[in-house]
Amino acid sequence: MLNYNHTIKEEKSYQGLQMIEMKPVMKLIVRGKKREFLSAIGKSLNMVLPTKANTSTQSEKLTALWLSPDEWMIFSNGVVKENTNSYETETLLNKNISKLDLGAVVDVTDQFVRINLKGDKIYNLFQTGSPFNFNDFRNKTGSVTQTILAKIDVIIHNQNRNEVNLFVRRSFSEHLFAWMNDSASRL
Amino acid sequence: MKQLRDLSKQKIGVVAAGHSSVIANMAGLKLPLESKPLQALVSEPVKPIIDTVVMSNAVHAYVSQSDKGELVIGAGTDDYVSYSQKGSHDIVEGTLNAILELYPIFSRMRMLRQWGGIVDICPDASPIISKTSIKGLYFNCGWGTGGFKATPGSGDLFAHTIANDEPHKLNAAFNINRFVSGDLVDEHGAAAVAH
Amino acid sequence: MFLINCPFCGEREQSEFKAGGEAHIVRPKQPTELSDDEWAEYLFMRKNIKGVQFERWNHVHGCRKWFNMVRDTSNDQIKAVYKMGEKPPIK
Ligand SMILES: Cc1cc2nc3c(=O)[nH]c(=O)nc-3n(C[C@H](O)[C@H](O)[C@H](O)COP(=O)(O)OP(=O)(O)OC[C@H]3O[C@@H](n4cnc5c(N)ncnc54)[C@H](O)[C@@H]3O)c2cc1C
Ligand SMILES: [Zn+2]
Repeated sequence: MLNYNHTIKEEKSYQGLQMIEMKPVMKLIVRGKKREFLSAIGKSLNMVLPTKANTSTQSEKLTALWLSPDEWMIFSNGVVKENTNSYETETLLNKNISKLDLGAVVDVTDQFVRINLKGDKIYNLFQTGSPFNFNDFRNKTGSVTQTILAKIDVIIHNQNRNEVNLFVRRSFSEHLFAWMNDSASRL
Repeated sequence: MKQLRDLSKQKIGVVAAGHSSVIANMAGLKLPLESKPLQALVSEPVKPIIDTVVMSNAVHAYVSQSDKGELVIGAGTDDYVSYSQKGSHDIVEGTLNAILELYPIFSRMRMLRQWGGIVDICPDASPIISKTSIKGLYFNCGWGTGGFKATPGSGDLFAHTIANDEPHKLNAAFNINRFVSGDLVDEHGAAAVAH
Repeated sequence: MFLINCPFCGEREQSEFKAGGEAHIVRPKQPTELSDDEWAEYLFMRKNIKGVQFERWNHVHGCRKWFNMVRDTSNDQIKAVYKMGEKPPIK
């Protein structure tokens, strides 16, 4: 059962920008190099991992983000019901990946906080605290980047036009959210 | 490159700070140094507001006010070797972030000048005032981010070392051989960041 | 301040990276047989070149991969970027 304590208590809304924590969301990090690793993940989850840098792939239930040539984050598109979640994805990958020594599977549900941002001011907000050039990113649905926002490591995923998912380590999440609110209030 | 062995009758003392390795390389010598940009900033002049030097190890920055009224601000080095005399913008931003943690009142100060000096840093962050493996060649270097205040003393001890071809007891520990013997002088540990 | 072309992620701002110092320093094959002088040479002595330097960088705030770079340290111009284990593309 998922015992997730959320860190961000409220939804925030500004002109052209809404921010909310999506919770609880199952998140996994998978690592592997072998071709068998990629095909085993593909077969198990019925989706291919993106091998092109800075991109993602999506199935009905899951999204996979490219993090590095041998590392991906997989998360559930929707929120998971706390009392019915039985870690079925992790269990499945444990069996088909870890046990067969094809790669590593780590549950990071509690390690990362997923913040969903919507609106046409998202990139104005990012510009106030990130060295990343979002010009191409914002026009390509599915784009992924790992960069810095307000000196904090973040993973950003272009979900849709004017909608992104932002992943931040839990211990930094409250501070980052406070910073984002402060910055958004002055856009 | 061929390493010199002996400058025979000459004695050469090198005090080139950030460029010490460049000179050492001319003699075929490698030094335990990395040269990195260290920046400082000066603001527009304002009326007296701070009458002492404030140095924070917690947020890592220092600030003082000059007689002309300018705030003098600085912090740490970039982490890459460079002789370009311009550090990265990121360091300036981090420095000012730290200053604003201490003094939110400075948030609307305008900075007038910024520059980067090249500082030569030893692995143990302590200086070298020493003979070398080449007879007659001496180095006073590795002062890194903190050689300003030590200048008179270090000059005196360096002169002693060159004149006698032996270190004074005060700079004996700062010999270049400590990187071979393992007797490092851990200035990072002793001073945290400030000096 | 400069842009670095990470061999994995593409062009990024230098602040996303961590410098890892001089590259191609070979780890001693038989550490137990090393003299103190050789240890000092391996651990501490650096070329610290003013000019074209071969160095290691890590994309810490991105893909977290190590790679090599050739940079002119006198003006921070980047000459080449190449993956770990690859031969330098220029001399
Ligand atoms: C921004 C900044 C802030 C600092 N803040 C402090 C501080 O608060 N407190 C502190 O104690 N220290 C501080 N330092 C460090 C301090 O400034 C230095 O450690 C100190 O100045 C070094 O003195 P030096 O005499 O060894 O070398 P320098 O004063 O740097 O002199 C070296 C000289 O060698 C010359 N030279 C180089 N190559 C050659 C060559 N081939 N031929 C001839 N001449 C050559 C150079 O032109 C230069 O004049 C700071 C440094 C910087 C850059
Ligand atoms: Zn990268």
